[in-house]
Amino acid sequence: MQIRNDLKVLIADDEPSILMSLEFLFKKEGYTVLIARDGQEAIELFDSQHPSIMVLDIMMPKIDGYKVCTHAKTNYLKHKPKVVFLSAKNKETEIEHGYELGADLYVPKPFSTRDLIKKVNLMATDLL
Amino acid sequence: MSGVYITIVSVIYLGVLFYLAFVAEKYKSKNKSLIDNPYVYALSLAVYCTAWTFYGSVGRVKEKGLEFLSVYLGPTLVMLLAWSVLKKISRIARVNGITSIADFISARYGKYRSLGVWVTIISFLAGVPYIGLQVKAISKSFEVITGITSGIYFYQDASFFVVLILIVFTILFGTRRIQSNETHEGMIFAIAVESIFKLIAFLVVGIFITFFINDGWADVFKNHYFGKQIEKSFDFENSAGYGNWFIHIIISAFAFMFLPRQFQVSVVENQSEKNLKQAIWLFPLYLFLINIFVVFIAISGTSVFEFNTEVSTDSYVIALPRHFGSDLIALIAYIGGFSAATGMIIVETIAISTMITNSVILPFLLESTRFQEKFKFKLLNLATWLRRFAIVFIILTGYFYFRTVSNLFSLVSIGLIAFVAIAQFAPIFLGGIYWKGASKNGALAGLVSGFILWFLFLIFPTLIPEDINNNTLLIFYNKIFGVIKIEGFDEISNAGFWSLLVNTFTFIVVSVFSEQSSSEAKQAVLFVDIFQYSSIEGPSGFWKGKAKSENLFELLASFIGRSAARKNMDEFGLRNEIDLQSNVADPKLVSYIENTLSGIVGTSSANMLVSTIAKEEVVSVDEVLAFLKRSQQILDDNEELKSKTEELERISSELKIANERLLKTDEQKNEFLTTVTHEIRTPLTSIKALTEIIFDNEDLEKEQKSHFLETIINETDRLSRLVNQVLDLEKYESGKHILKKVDISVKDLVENVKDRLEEIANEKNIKIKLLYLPETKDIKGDEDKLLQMLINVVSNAIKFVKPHEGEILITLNSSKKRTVFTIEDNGIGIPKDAQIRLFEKFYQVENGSYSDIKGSGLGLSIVKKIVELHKGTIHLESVVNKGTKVMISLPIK
Repeated sequence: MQIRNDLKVLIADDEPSILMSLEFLFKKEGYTVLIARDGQEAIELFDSQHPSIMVLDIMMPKIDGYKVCTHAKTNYLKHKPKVVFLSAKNKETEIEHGYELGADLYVPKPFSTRDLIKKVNLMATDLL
Repeated sequence: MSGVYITIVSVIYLGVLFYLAFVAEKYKSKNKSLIDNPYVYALSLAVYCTAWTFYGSVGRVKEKGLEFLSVYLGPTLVMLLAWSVLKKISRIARVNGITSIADFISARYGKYRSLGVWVTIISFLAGVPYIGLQVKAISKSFEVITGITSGIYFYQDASFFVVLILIVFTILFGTRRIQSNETHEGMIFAIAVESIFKLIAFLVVGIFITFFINDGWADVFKNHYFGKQIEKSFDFENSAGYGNWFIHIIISAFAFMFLPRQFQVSVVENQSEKNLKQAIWLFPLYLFLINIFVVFIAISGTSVFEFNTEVSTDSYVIALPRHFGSDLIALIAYIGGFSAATGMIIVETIAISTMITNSVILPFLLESTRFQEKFKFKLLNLATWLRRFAIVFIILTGYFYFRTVSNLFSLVSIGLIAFVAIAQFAPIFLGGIYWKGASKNGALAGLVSGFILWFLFLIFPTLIPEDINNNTLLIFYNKIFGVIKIEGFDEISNAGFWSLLVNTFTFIVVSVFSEQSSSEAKQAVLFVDIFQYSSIEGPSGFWKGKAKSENLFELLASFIGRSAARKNMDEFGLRNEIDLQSNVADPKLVSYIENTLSGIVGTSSANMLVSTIAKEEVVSVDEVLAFLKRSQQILDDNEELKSKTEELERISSELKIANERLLKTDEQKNEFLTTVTHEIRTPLTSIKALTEIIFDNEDLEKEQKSHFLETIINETDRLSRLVNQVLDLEKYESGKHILKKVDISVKDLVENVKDRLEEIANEKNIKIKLLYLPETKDIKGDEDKLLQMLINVVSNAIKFVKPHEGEILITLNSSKKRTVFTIEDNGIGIPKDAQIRLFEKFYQVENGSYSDIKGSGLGLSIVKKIVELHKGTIHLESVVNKGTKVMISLPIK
């Protein structure tokens, strides 16, 4: 648990209630949680805090999740961050596009909290 | 003057005529016409003035004073008063390809050949003496000017050689082109020039006598009239009397219209109807000029030759200048008279020869099938040769008449006898073009009865040898004709009156009581209503029967040559949009071919020729009328078809637009569905995540747990609200929604809105103010919908104003027909680019609101729909950071 505490998870979503639930979940798992309400905040936080894992909504005000992903994957400093897309856009083509941009996981909304946590924990073990 | 000299002058004069005719034909071959103008047309009409006018009028004055003028008043009146009749005749002739008056009359009465034959016979009997009269004039004038009396034998007579030259001229220019629509250009031009010659010549003689020999008009009377023998001719008691004047004018008017040569120049050779308009005054002017000196020459002559009985009155025109020693003037006079005589002979011969070949010989020959088989395709040559023989025959008969009979009559009386014969055509001709009831039996009966009377009145007496006195037949004749003789009428008037009366009466009575055949009735309609059913172009196809196009072509080709026939038919096909390749020829084409052939061989022959290759079916009057109606119907149908096509085009383009709209709507539906599912998933995700958290974490703090539960409740509300709005919008858009319109108090409505939103407003500490302007009027509408509409707008305003500072003002105002709701706030405003998209479904301005509750993006779409359903308008103004103003205007009723 000590170790997980070193990992920073960035959560970006424009839905306050979703943000609220994700924040609770990841904090409970011991991660350091960063919160962004839109794409721009997400990029600023990425640049300053270098999170290892990013959980991104796609449809966000100002800058969308795709652009945040691309930014993170091309401007990493030490380690490439892991990117998880959380989206209500569930079409095949949209999911493919997410992976093409370098995403490590694409989780359609509504998602199971247990599954999401399990998968993110797996990623975290890889990082450690 | 010497005979040789005069002969040379005569031959030179004829040479000039040949030259002029050649020139005109040459122009024609270059497609220019020397004769297609009103002046030449009027001058050609002056072929009316023959040697009779030139020499005979003077003689007539000596006998009857001014009565000679009646012969010129008739034509003058026709030109001035009856030119519309002439126009109708011209049109009919052109449309039907008429070649002569016999052709015209038989065509009118169902192409009835007997009529054509009778008209030809009468024309011939009237025409030959008339031609003889001209030859006589030539011969006499030659004698007078040379002083040589011609010998006993014809070869000692100068006029015989003139006649031979005239035969050559007539054949050359009269049968050069045989088709009537290619008129005798050279001949007509020569005739027009001859008319100038004779006018000038007569004026020269008149001026010479009146102004050079005498000292002007008055002097002629002073020297030669008073106290002289001629004064008696002008006496009232001796004058002709009104009756004679009247009958003579009528007869000469008819003669002017129906004499074969007049019909030839005025109708057959007429180039265009518009020439007639100018001729109306040109021709009477000509008659006036040529008659102006007649009286003065007559008075002078009678006085000068008072005691010289050897000089005949008919020769004063030449004898007077001779007497006063001016050979030049006499020569001019001779040429004038010569031109008057030759002109008449040429045109009359052409006209009568056409009748003989086209109305008598060809139809007769064509009746024999054996002849047809042998000659059908050589008919053009045959027609040409027949006409040439006819020309020779007519002129020689005229000459023979002159040599044997003519000495019995004066120039004028022969002319007038011919006039009465020709006048017999008038009732059936005029009746034919103005009365549809005129039948062929009536026409034949009228014509023959008139002709018989003419013969009995005017010819029979001259045939009786003087030594027979006691013949019973003769006594009977004298008795009858003595009784009916009208007192005061001369022979001509008497014969004219009775023959025309009986003719007309018989014509009408027989017509009324006899039935018309179908072809007669058809022709009657076509002739009488010519202006209704024809353009100048030609006939409309009445022809009803079957013919092969190629047979028609062969027939036409045998007359005008293959290449010309091909060209003619192609042009006709093109002009009338007829398919020439089709096996069964179009009726219009058959009519066209028949018409073209009519111009060559006459209507009867053409009709027979065409019917040999095409079986004509009987056409009834009803069918003719039905045809005419059908033509009109086709025009109407075309119009209707056109509008139908336009309508179809319009409908199909509408369909196209509708289809595009449908496709677009389908696309929009898909997009809508995607968006809706997305919007539904978002609250669902929150609800699912939060419930899982609560379920998995029993040890949650109470405060946090209740916060999560509250969020779940809010998200559930959001979800159900979204579902309701989607359903509402769907209902409005599908048009299924029916407005429950009631009278609404707008004041109550707005207060209701305020009440419902008061709580949310208070939470944010925002003021909602209402303002009623005094003229505010209530409206009719669906109360629930309008309430929903206003709540959507006002709650939007609440969302976008700052807490504590926010102010919302709802104003009510009315114009004459509308009530306007204005909702103003002092919120964050909407950027320009967003304003445009504001009413789109699910569109949400990104700026974020001052509320935690997220909108569905459907609120304003629903507002817009409700406004539209109430036939109102919505308008939005907004400035960023200043505020937004929404104006909804609804009709009062």
